[in-house]
Amino acid sequence: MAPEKQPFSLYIHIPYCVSKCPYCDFNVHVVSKIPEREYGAALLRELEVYARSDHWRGRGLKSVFFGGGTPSTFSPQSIGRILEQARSLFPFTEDVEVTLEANPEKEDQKHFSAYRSCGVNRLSLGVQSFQPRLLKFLGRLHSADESREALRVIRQVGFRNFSLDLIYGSPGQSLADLQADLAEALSFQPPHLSAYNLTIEEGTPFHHQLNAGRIRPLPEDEEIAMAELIEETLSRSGLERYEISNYARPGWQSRHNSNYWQGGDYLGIGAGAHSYVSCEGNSVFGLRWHDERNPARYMEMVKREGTAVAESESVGLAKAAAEFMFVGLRMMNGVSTDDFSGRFGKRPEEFYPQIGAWVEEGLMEARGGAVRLTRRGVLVSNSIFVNFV
Amino acid sequence: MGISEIRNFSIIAHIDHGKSTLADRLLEHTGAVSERERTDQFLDSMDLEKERGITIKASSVRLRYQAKDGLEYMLNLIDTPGHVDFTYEVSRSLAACEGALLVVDAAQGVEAQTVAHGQLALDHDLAILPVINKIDLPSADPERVKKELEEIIGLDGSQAILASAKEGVGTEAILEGIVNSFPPPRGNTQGQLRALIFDSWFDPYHGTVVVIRIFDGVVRKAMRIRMMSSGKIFEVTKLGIFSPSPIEVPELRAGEVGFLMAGIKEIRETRIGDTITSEAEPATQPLPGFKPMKPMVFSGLYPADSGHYQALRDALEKLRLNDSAFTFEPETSQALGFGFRCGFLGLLHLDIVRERLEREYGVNLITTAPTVVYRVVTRSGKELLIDNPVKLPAESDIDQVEEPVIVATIHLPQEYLGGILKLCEEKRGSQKEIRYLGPTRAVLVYELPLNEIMVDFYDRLKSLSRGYASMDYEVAGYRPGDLVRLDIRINGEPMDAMSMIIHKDKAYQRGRDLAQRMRQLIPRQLFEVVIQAAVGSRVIARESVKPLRKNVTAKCYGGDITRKRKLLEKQKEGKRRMKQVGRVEIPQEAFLAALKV
Repeated sequence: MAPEKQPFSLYIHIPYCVSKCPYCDFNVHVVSKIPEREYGAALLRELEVYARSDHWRGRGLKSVFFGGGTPSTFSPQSIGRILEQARSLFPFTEDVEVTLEANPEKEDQKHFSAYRSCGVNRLSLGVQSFQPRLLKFLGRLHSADESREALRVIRQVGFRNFSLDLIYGSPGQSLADLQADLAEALSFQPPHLSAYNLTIEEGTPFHHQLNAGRIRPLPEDEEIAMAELIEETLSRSGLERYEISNYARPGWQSRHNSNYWQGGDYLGIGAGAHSYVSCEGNSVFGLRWHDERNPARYMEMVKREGTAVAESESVGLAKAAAEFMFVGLRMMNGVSTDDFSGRFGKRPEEFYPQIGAWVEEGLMEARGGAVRLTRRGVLVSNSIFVNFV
Repeated sequence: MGISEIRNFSIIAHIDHGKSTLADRLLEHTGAVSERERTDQFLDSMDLEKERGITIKASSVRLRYQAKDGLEYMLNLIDTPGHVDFTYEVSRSLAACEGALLVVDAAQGVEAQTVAHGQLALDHDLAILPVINKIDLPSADPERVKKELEEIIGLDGSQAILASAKEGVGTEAILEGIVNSFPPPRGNTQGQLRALIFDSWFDPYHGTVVVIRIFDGVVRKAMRIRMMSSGKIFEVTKLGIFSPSPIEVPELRAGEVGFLMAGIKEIRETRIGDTITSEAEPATQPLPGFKPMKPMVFSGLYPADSGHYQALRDALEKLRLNDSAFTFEPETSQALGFGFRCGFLGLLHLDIVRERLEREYGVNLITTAPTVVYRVVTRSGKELLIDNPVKLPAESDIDQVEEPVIVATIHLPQEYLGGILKLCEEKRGSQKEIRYLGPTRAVLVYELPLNEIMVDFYDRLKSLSRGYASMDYEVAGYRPGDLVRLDIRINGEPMDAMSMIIHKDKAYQRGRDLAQRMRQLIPRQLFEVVIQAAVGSRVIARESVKPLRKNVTAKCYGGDITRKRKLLEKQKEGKRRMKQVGRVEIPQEAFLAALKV
């Protein structure tokens, strides 16, 4: 079977939020009235158009991910319609994973049950912290109690698969604060948890505050200690670290995200969504594109043309290999040597001779049919990845 | 117009005392430059010179002046460079003159270069006419300046013309003064040709342009001429004067100043101070004072990106066409790869060349620690000239190391004497003379090792005296010294580009400073970077850059791999601006630290 006939992943971007968090630099828009019907229609139309294209026609779908923004700003009816459409166009694999990112607010909780009924089988809840002080700092509108309640509801309405997001490394956060967050998170026995180190991205309100000296990031050593505490604590509770920021019980890793990290194909629809499709050919390994970022213009374009491609690029051998490495090494299992040489004709160590030096320095391991970063290597992964590009 | 209506003169002044502005006023007043085409500071033609406020290249302009005595005069204004690195060139320009306007700022008063160049002018038996400039300034004190002129230089202060070049005050009086106080040139039109070269530059269309003053005889178009220092023969293709735009003339006669072209392809054939004579009837004696110009300071110039080696070579070659004092030859460095060992008159000259390479030719450079030329006598009795510290033989093979010394003349207000004496002592100077000029000023004469004044001497002199001290220097031979080589090692690898020869007593402090600076400038890497300063096998300082512990992206968002790649590419771009030495990435600034400590 040709590689492009493999099942793929579908990403659906819902760009709307009730307010924008000060650390967020995603494609997020706060509008007075969310044009749910119009935006939903654009998504349906886009799906339909792609389903007719050579790249996607007839292929199986192994995961769907509603990301944002806040997908739970959309009603279960809208989400259901999109899933219906997707299912009618692409055969879902038996074990298809359908994730929706949700906020813990009361308003959102009301829909959890209905989301499940319409085909969502995994919720990813943006808890971030259980400490009121840190929630306030992070600009979150929900309370810690709402998060607790939301987690109870999730389990109550029958979601066996769910994840919660935590952010660590906020200025003023102590190791004890973090420990409390972890303990509380674990008390809900999540099969999956993401713990993101707070990163201050250019152009965000936090970045301005940082430049103005109003916030001071935690010392590097403390952040490292936090990362260690997280891994230790979670692994004791059976949540294994499988990616830089992701932890799961064995078998409960996010299939959707794993597909990104393993170089699989994905179709992204919605404002600013990204797609990648591998190609069979000598010089071009794959195509990447993303949709128009502005929701209003995105909807306009889809109405006019059926799609809304803003930029696309073809990925040649060197680029494809580099991407495969710096994305794949985010996973603790690393990059499979066979997989790499199957795609690029040479083993990773042959393609990137520096790997030998990194192994010697204890930043990488090359055994068991894979190359992977050590824990120390993970911490400086960007300094290693830069050598691939 | 006969030789008695010619006046050849220079304007000498301390930096910023108004030389260029005054020159502009003279040009305007005599109609050489009309108001309309006037641009400020006409004689300083290169951008770089304007920015630095100094004139690198001497030029000459012929002015016609209808004097009050009813006669028309030919005034040749000969410009002089104004920095300590170019003393010899100043002296050759002065040798082409009979008189000099000594311009002094009415508020600042007499400064070191005023004195140094004034002295130089007196040594050449020039008539000196003092001009007290900037009398329009509220802080102007012409009476004080007159007294200083008398007390410090021994000129008659009452003769001084009060002027404001900016406002055009006193221009006429100055022109009359030139006519009346400066003697006409002496010279014999009938004699064998002797012409002094006092400036030259390369013109891409005409080859080398030589600016000359005729002392004896006549030079004509198509004449075959001989350079007396080299014996090389050329045929004159063009003669002319600058007025200030070039105008061709059929001949230049004794007493006149003008330019000559003779299909000379390399500027090195036209040495400043050399005498041109005719091939057919050569003069027996050249004009006095010729010294071949020798670079005093050497430094390795390396392209930051080794792929730009050829571009650097091309740029150096182009630069050499126009700068006979500058030399280069290929060399290799273990740390930096392929580059060039370059010779300069002094550090300022090095700075100018480096800036021109980066700005005009777009070559990103790494400069190694500058060095003077040491003379080494080996145990086996061989004498070596060392222009690169790496070439210094092992200690056990050295009988004696000698270093070049200079004699510096420093003028300063007496209140700063204490600090500056201390500075000179710190720089291993030995005092030759201390003189008090009037109640407030002093002159210090010190013999100093050239390598000691190379780095920060001039800057510190200025800051210790709040800018009031000034200095001039002359090279004064070699003296034995207790000198060693200071090496910098990075993770055990010697950084040959940072080695320097230094006095034993200073090696420890310098090594420590350098290692500390390097620690601050080398970014953290994936492994520990150990910086050592060593003399021979003895490590005298050690610093370490702790390994980078954390550089990680928490979230690789929603399949946006292009963005992640672009971020990595940006990081990579930053890496590219660094030099890879072994596995250590070292930014250019770290190499500059070797110059600046």
